Amino acid sequence: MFRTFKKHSTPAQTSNTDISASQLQTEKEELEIIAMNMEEGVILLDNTKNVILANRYIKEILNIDIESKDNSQVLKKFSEVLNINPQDYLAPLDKFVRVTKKEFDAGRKVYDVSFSLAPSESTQHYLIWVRDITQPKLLERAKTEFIALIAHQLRTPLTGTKWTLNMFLDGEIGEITPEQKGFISKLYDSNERLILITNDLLESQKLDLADTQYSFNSVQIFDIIDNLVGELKTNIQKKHITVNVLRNTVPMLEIDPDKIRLVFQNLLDNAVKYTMEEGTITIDAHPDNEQVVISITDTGVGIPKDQQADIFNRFYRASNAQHITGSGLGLFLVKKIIEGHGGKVWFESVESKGSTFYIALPLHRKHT
Amino acid sequence: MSNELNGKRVLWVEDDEFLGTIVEKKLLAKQCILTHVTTGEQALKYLDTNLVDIIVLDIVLPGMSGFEILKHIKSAEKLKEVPVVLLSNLNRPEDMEMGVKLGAERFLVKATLSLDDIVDQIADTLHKQ
Repeated sequence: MFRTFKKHSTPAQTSNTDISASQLQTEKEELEIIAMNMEEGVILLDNTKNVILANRYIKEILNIDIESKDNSQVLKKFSEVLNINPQDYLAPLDKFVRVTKKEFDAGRKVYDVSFSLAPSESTQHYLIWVRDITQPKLLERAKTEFIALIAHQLRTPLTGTKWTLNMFLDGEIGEITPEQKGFISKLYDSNERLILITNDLLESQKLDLADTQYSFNSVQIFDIIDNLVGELKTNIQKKHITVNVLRNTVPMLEIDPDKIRLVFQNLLDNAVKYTMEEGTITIDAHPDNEQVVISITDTGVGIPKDQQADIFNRFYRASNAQHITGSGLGLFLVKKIIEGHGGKVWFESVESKGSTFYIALPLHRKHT
Repeated sequence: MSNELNGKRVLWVEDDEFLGTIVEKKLLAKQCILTHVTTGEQALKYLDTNLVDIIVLDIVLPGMSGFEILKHIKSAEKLKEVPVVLLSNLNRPEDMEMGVKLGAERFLVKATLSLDDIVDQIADTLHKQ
């Protein structure tokens, strides 16, 4: 719907003031056309958070009469339709955040919403931008589910091959010659690589998860750690590794438990994988001001100094780790999730001595 | 460790034919008394009239899922003490939680473990009883 306007016809002789007034009027109308008809919803608020302008796009989403000049119901309808209270996101902007951007699942639709503060010389305004991203989101989700399904379907025959080749190599299906053993070994390794690729496919799905909304809960970090150590029991016992958990008193943390579990799963998995026989893994957690610092120390192969800077890059695997199974996405994911919690991850490592990974998590949520 | 399944009665629920063949060969070599079925319904039917020492259960099955079967087992008086080991092809935390919640003794991921590892874990579970 376009608002039409007529260009002012200027008489032959006018004063400068008249020309600027009509120019201003023209510019104003042109800007209003843009604002009102953008393919993106915008709400402009004054410094007391009253709505000054709500364009056609947002009014259509909120089911408000487009022609109406009454903006008093806009925020109320916003809460109802999008299931969020805009004040929750506008208030923090005053203190320390200039822009907050989130995706909201409003029933069958998904919206990308930004809240920002626009200071000017004499005052300030607030802006809320809304985009309907339902279509691309649904496409993305369908793609992710499809990838997960394929990865899952591939794993059954791959497992069958793995187990059978193992039996050949162990001589359980009759004696094999050294030459046969050689080839079957190569076949086994090749199959293991295929399994790793399916791991990568599945982990890339987890990356998508790390991008979407976080759901926070009060969690005792040792519950997650104990559970994971239990899962790794077989490998730990096999390599005769000693695991020490230093149980200091640590307050509950406001975190997304599934995502943080992924983080520790990655780090503990690595610690066990890269630690040599009879080695030690020490897990410590202690409070430190407004955060909790967790460290995982292993006596493993360590990370060569010249590669330490790249360790959190996607797909990166240090040269001394190539022979150990893994996908290389793990640490990238770890960093993403921890930073998404407003925390920090770092490490210290000496080649052939071991590594310590540190994670600092704020007690209260800071997810932006 | 190699005789630890000797004489033990194992019920293994696995719908994939290839994997089923391998499991049969492996477990019979360990001299355990193996019953292999391909659906949950068959498993429950077998358990109606037979005793076993341990049940190994795939999660993804045609018909009843491994979780549903687990629920049945844990709610039947004469079956609930029998240890159950869950097998899966995916490493999903929500599956593991569900498994633990429903009372499975262990949750193992097929593609990443060798069959020997799985057999060791089964023997381990049995000996903890």
